[in-house]
Parts: sequence; structure tokens; C-alpha cells
Amino acid sequence: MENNVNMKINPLPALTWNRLKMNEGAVEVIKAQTGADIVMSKLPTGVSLTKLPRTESNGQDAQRESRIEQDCGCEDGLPGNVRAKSNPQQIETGMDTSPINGHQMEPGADIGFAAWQQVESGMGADFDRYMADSSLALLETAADSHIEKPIIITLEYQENMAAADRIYLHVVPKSSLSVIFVLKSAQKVQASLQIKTIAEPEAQVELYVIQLTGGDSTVLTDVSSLCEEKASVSLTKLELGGGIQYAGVCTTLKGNKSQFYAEAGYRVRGEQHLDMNYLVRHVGRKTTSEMNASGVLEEGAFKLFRGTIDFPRGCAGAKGNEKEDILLLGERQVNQTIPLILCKEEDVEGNHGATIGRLPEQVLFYLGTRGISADAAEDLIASAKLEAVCARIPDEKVKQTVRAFLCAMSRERLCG
Amino acid sequence: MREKSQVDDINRSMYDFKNEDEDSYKLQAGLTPEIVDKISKEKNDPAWMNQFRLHSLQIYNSLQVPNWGPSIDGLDMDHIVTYVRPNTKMSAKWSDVPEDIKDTFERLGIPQAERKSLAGVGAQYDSELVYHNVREEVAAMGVVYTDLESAMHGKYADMIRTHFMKLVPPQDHKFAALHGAVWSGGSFVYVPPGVTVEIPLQSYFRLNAPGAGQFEHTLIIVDEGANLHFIEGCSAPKYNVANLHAGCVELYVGKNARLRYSTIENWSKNMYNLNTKRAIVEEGGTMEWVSGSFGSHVSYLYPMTILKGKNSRMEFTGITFAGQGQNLDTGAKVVHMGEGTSSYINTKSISKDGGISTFRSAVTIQEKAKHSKAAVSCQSLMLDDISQSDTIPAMDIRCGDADVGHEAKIGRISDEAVFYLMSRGISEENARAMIVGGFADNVSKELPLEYAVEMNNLIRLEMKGSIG
Repeated sequence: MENNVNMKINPLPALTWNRLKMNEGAVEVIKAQTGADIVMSKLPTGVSLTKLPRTESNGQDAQRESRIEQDCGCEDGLPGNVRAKSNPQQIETGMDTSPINGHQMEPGADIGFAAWQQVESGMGADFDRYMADSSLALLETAADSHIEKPIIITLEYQENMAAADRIYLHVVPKSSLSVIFVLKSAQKVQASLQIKTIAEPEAQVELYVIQLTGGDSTVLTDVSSLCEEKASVSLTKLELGGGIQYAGVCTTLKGNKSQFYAEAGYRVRGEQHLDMNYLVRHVGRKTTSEMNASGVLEEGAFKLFRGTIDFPRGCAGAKGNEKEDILLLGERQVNQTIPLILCKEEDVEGNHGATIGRLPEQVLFYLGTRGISADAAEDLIASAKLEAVCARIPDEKVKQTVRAFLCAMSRERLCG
Repeated sequence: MREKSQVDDINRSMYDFKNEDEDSYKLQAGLTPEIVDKISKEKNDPAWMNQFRLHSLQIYNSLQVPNWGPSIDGLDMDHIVTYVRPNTKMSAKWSDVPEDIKDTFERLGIPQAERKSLAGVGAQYDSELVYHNVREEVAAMGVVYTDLESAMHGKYADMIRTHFMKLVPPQDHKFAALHGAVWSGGSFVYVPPGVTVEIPLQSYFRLNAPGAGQFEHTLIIVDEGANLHFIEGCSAPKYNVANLHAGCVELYVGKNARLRYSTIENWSKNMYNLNTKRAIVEEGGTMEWVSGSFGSHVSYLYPMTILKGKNSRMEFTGITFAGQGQNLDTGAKVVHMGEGTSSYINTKSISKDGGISTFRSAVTIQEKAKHSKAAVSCQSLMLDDISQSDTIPAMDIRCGDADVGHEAKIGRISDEAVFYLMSRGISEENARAMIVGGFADNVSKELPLEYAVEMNNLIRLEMKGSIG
């Protein structure tokens, strides 16, 4: 169909046997005509929001924009210190624009997007192109601002909606920012979200991406970051909802002593298809990374995890660790795991590990002697795995929402 | 800042000597139906084999070069001679082998090894076997160890036809198809039920002719309850033109049988080593691979095991040493089909002097392989910052009742370990060589003593002058 787009997605940075079908995913999506309904918590002082026009025009500007609202009383219905301009698609931040890697970021103009193009997508070039003309919002910190309370951005999708949104985070030197993204939807939607972060020297960023969409949905989430010297990005990602899910994560540790930490949790079942691609590139010296994935696969589900630690020449002193821990609960499911280390530097340390299996008989027996049935015991351990990731979320309300979602999954499994 | 010093290339004088090949018979370079037909006539193939070769050539022409491995752009099949026959016939007497060829194998230590520690030896020179012998007491147990072409025309003809390229069909990949079209030489081994061959058999492959390919086929059938250790060695002198090795090894391990297949591969560094090895294991059977990859310019080598029978198992122990100008893509594949199957892949790789080493693996557990277990461990050592080492392990688990573990590490020789050894009076060069030797210990301890010594010599030669 004319409105459909075919993409190669989540490409493996180094190919392997084609017959394994792990080198990349392929997805057909409808060309998004709109953005999600976005509800944002009140922006703390020191953070500004700029809603930027699209970089390309397809003559349907009005339809492609997101509707951004604030969920707690603010003038003009706009967040924090942001005011509306005459053009409703542009919001003045009231802040000076800041150079990023030598490029001037000018809200309302295309200049400066070259800087964002340096932020490599975890989902690949096709997805970057697909998202290029979707609605775009930019969150920026002020210099030396330390935001303790996380900003909560909820993206909601109505039934049969095909939406695409880009949210860029520019965290200036020595500032910090914490953002929780929650994706919610009706039963069947198509949701595409691209989050790009530039963490300037000594900036600290905490990202939480919680995916709770409806069971027949197609969800594509791409979280990409570029870290300058001594900057750090921490990502917590939960994949719980959706039917067909693609998740790309790419972090480039460009500056010396920059850091990346990722904790991913997932629970997939039935017809759910989860395809992940996590990539960290250690460019700077003495950079460190750690990626942990912990998940549960139930009967009939499909999951593919690609995890790559890349040590290019020159990243002396870098250390990277990666681990995936998978609990199998069904008789038949497909679990594919391909953890890569690519190394062109001598003075590095890289480790990866994976464990895949059922609950040990001893655990089932122990819990059985305490009156817990095998099904309930399996569910208990599965929930505990996800709870460990959920516990990282720094907002009680969001945490409760996730727990309720997990409880519903458990009920459905145990009670049918 | 630490100072780096030059790491010397391997002293290959013990492998690099070459004989004039003017007395040999060669086909013209290239790959055409006429050339394949000529090989078939040279080999006196039965009609089915002639058709098989021509069909394989069609498949070869229809398949693409792999897009995922090291570049083989330097390999031009139009310049590869696919058949070189030395000017002699196969003999079972060492004294009948021509002097120059005999001298070649004596310098490589083959006859000495036969006398000391082998149950039988096959020696292939270019495209043909020149010597094949098996000890009388081993033959008396019913063990067959002969060249594949003789077997194809004798009483084992049906067995050959039933098994030849059934595990590795020509459709498998482009170079399996090439092998199917132009194969020549190689061995056939049959171990009858319940027979244990106490000491190993060995085949040694020597490619002497420049610009030639070697396409030997090894077919081993270890019947129910039998036990065999087979050793494969290979080397070639270095030339300025590309040589090609596209051999094929098919191993059938019967019920409760055990086969150990050990390889010390030391091709010259102008060699494209595109070899295919595969085993299928029946109920309760055991397949053990021991693999040392030291030579070649480019290698694609991933011995594969199909654990078909219930409670069958495999173990792969390997080491790869990639030096200057080498791109060695090695690893292993295993498919768990039967219930209660288990596999363990344990590899080490070392990269130095600009060498590229890639560990690549695939563990597949199919739906019916309940109670299966698989473990993969790969460790890589980087000896300088101009080399490259990648690990690409894939796991595809389709059975809920499986237990799979994987771990990989990459790093360099620790300064603390070198310092400790130096504080005990060991020179830095020796300290580093000792650490690398220890790193490779998992492979050397699995080899018979003579081969472990050869492997350790190779490592020591590679490490000579290595201080950094």
C-alpha cells in the first residue's frame, strides 16, 4: 500500500550467518499521520521545552504534530516557564540556545540538526528516515541545573492510531535531568517513539521508558544517546505491553570517562514478538558501560536480544559488561540471543554472559513445600525479576501503574 | 605510558620449504564444466559421482559469496588450479614414495609420528594421496582406513554413496558446492561396532603447488559402541599467489560411539581456508573436537555437530592465533535435536601484529530437545592495539525445558601477571610467552603429547620477540 513503509530495523553491527535471521529485523508500518497525545508533568525550573517544526514538509503539518499538555495547572496549558508564541507549533523557551558540538541549536530552524544526526540510532538508518518528519519536542536543561524530581511524559495512543514522535533531550554541561516516558494505548495502535539525548560534559541523565501499550499494538521505541566527557546516561527500560515490539538502544561514549548503564526488563507471551538491539560504542578513553537485560518468556512468545559492546581503536582503558538472564516459562517459545564484543583496542576489558533456562526443580520443590503451586511459583519468580527493574523507577505513581500492569499479566496467566 | 615493541612474525622455516612442481600433472586454472568433467575422468568416477560434480558446479554458480565474513576478494577462481596430481601413485610402503615428497613429510615429522604414536597414516600431496597405511593389528579388528576413491570403487561403494555429502550437501554454501564439484583425495574410515582404536589415526595434507586448491574429502563412520581418535594436520609453503583449501569432513558417530577429531591447522599465510566440517551423533554418542588454527590468510571454519540421538553430547575445544595479515573467522555450531543432549564449546583466541580473530558460534536447541544443556565460553586475548578480536555468539532456543549458559571475555595480558613473573627472574618476553601458553592450555592438554609440543612450539614462535 502507498501509505505503508517497509523498514530494515535493529541491524546487527557485525553480521553473522543469514540463516539464523538475527542480522536485522524487517517491519512494515503505516506512514504515521500524527503524533501521540502527550501529557507532561510540570517542568521544574531549569528545564525548558521547545516544540520544533518538522524538518521536512509533507503538506500535512497540522496532522503530524503531537498535542502536548501539562497535567498540573500551568499558564496557557503549557509546561513550566514556557509560553506560547503566535505560531502554536513554536514555543519560546526563554533561554539562550546553546551550541552543541559546534552547531548552533536554533529552535524553529533546521540549523543544529546536524548535531542530532551524530546521535546514532539503535534502530538503524531506515528508522531514522522514517522518523525524520515526525513531530519533535526538545527538552533542554539550563547550565548547572540539577533536577531531582523526574519529569514524567506520558504518551497516549487512541485506538487504530498510527503516531510517530521524536523527543530530544539536550543536557548541558554539569546539569542533570531525569525523565520517565510511559507509553499507554488502546488495544491496537502503531506507536513510534524516538528519544535522542546529547549529554554534554559532566551532564547526568536518567531515562526510564515504560512500554504498556495494548496487546495488538506495533510499538517501535528508539533510545539513542551521545555522551561527552564525564557525562553519564542511565536507562531503565520495561517492555511489557504491545504485540509486535522493536526496541533500539544506542549510546556513543564519545567523551573520555563517560558512562552508560542500562537495565532492561521484559515479559512476553502468546503472540508477542520482541526484537531488541542494544549497542554501546566506547569511543573515548576510560569509558565504562554496563547493560543488563532480564526477562521472562511465556508460551508461544518470540524474543530476540542483540547486545553489542564496541571497542574501536583508541578507547584505551574502556570497560564494558553485558548480561542477559532469561526465564523460560512455556513449553515452546523462541528465544534468540546474540551478544557481541567488537574489539580493536588492546587495553580494554569486555565481558558478556547469558543464562537461559527454566526454574530449577529445587526452587519449585522448595516453594511447593510452602504450599505454592508450580504455576504460582513460576509467576512469583517471574514477577520478582520484573520488580527488580520496576524498583528503579523514581516515581511511586508510575511504579504503581507498572505493578498493576504486572499483576494483570500474572492474573491472566494464572486464571486464564 | 607503556612502550610497545615489535612482535616478530612466526619462523615458518619448518613449513615453508617448497618442492618444484614441474613433474606434476595440472589441469588449467579456472572452473568450468569441462574442467570438472576432466577431474571426474581422472578419478575414474562412477556415473553418479560425475553427475553429482556437475550438479554441484551449477549450485556453485547460483550461490553468492557470504556477506558476513572476512573478505575473500583476493580469491579469483579463474586463477586457481583445482587439480594437481603429483607424479606418483598412492603407496602403502614408505620406501615407494618419491624422494622429494618423502623428504617433505619426513621434515614435517609424519613417518616418525607414525612409528611412535599412530595407528595409521594417510599423506596427501596436492590433490592426491601418496601414502596410506594402517597397522596390521588395527586392520585385523576390521578397521578400514583407506583413500576415499578406492573405497568408492570397492566393497564400501554403497556406504560411500549413502553418506557422501549427505551431511554437508552442496546447497549448504558456495564453497561446499565448489567442493562437491572438484573434490579430490581424502580418507575413508570405518570403525566396526564395539571396536576401540587405542591410538589415533592421522591424515596429513600438504599443498605444494602455487596457485592451487586442495579439496580433500574425509568421511568417517564410527559404528555403534566404537571409539576413535582421528588427527588431521595441514601445512603449505608460502607463495605470492592465493592458494585455496575447501575440504570437507563428514563424521557419523553411531549409538554410544565416541569420536575425537583433532586438527592442527597451519596453512601458509597466502591460503584461503574455506573448510567445512560436520558431525551427526546418534543416541548416547559423543563427538569431541579439538582444533588449533594458526595458519591461513583467511579462514572460515566452524565445525558443526548435530546431536540427533537422545543423550548424545559434544565438546569443542579450540584455539585461534591470528597474526600479521591474517583474518581468521573460526568457531563452532551445534544443533540439539534429541532429548537430554548436551554441548560445551570452549574457545580461546589470540590476536597480534594486526591480525583479526573472530569467534563465531551458533547454538540451536530445537523444540523436541527437552532437558538439553549447552554452555559456551570464549576468551580473547589482545596482544597489541593494531589487532582486532570480535566475538559473535548466537543462541536460538526453541524448547522451554533447556538450560543454556554463555560467557565471553576479552582483554590483554595483565601487567601484574608479567610483573610477578619478572620478579621471579623470568624475562619479560618469556613471561608473556608463558602466559599465552597457559592461556592456550585448554587445547594443548587435549592433544596427544607430540602434537601438544608442536602447538606449544607454534605459540612460542609466534610470541618470539613479543614484548609490549
